[in-house]
Amino acid sequence: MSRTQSSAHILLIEDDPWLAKSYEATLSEVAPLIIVSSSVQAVESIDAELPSLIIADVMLEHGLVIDLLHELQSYSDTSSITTVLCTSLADRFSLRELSRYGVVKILDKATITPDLLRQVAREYA
Amino acid sequence: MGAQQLNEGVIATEVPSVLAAAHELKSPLVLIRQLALQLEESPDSVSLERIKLTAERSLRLVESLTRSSRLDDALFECEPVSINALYTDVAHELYPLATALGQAIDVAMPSKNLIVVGNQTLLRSVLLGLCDNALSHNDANQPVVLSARRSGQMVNAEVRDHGPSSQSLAYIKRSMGRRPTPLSGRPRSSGLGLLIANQFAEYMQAELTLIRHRSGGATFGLSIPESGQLSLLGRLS
Repeated sequence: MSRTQSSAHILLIEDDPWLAKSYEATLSEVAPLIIVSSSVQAVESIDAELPSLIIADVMLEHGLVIDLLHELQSYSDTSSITTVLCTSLADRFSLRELSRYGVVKILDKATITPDLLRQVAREYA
Repeated sequence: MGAQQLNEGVIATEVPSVLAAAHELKSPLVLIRQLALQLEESPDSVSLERIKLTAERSLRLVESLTRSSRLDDALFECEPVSINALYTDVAHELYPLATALGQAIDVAMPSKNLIVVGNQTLLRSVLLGLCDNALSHNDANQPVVLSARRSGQMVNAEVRDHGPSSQSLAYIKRSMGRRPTPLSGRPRSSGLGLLIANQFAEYMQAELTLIRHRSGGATFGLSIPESGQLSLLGRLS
């Protein structure tokens, strides 16, 4: 499938609509933002236009986002997308192990602040 | 029929663990904290309302956990309970949450009052939990539906949500060579609420059931004994 080249937008994958809305206020200051709530929607969004950065929750409605990241590694154009995980289970994941899925940082939802989120988005978007 | 019955092994039956409780309570606390941080940056009444509703959601879970640990104390006597009245109560309590989520709850009751034998507090807790769970997974374009029907000597009290269809799930799972995740395995939740609901159901000699719909979403049901004497009076009235 042909995809449009990266448009320097951030793709936020978060299935809690209120949390997503809260992150939106911060992230939209950094770059255009697309919010989706599932891996299926994420695939559709990525197929339409490649994001420059994915910020994703790990536990989604019907599965782990790792499945999606694994899938993205299968295509040359999506395998280079930078990904930041934002999860309540940060201590259960190893950045070293997840780096093969393009994950560059794991943020802990329990300690993240708008400033930190803004800073990370600016660094990687 | 377009539905798949999933009872055996779908709803966990273990005792709620501290780890499961901690996991389940962490998400709303994270949300409350995030909303509070947002309020610091830019005060708004919507965030305040969401903090209140999220706290109330967590409190309902904590109350259920407390009751779960007190079941052995035999504090919850079974008596005739009106399902119609209970549904009205549940829909009323969850109306602010449903509205804030942009959703609706429809109560589709039979015209005759359905009376079951159960404990009012535990029944209310189970139905609130099932309805809250449905709101979490429901597609906002369709309402969560509370309904009840007789089935022999039992009453099936059901909560229907309209989540993503299994076809759309299969689309991405198939591309990854994996099977769709079972409903009970919704990773976002530890399933603690359903586990507690199942405990309460067993205490009342009722059964928690689950039907997954091919068109999307699920129906959680509570099959509970009908109160024979009072239902007969209801039919005669």
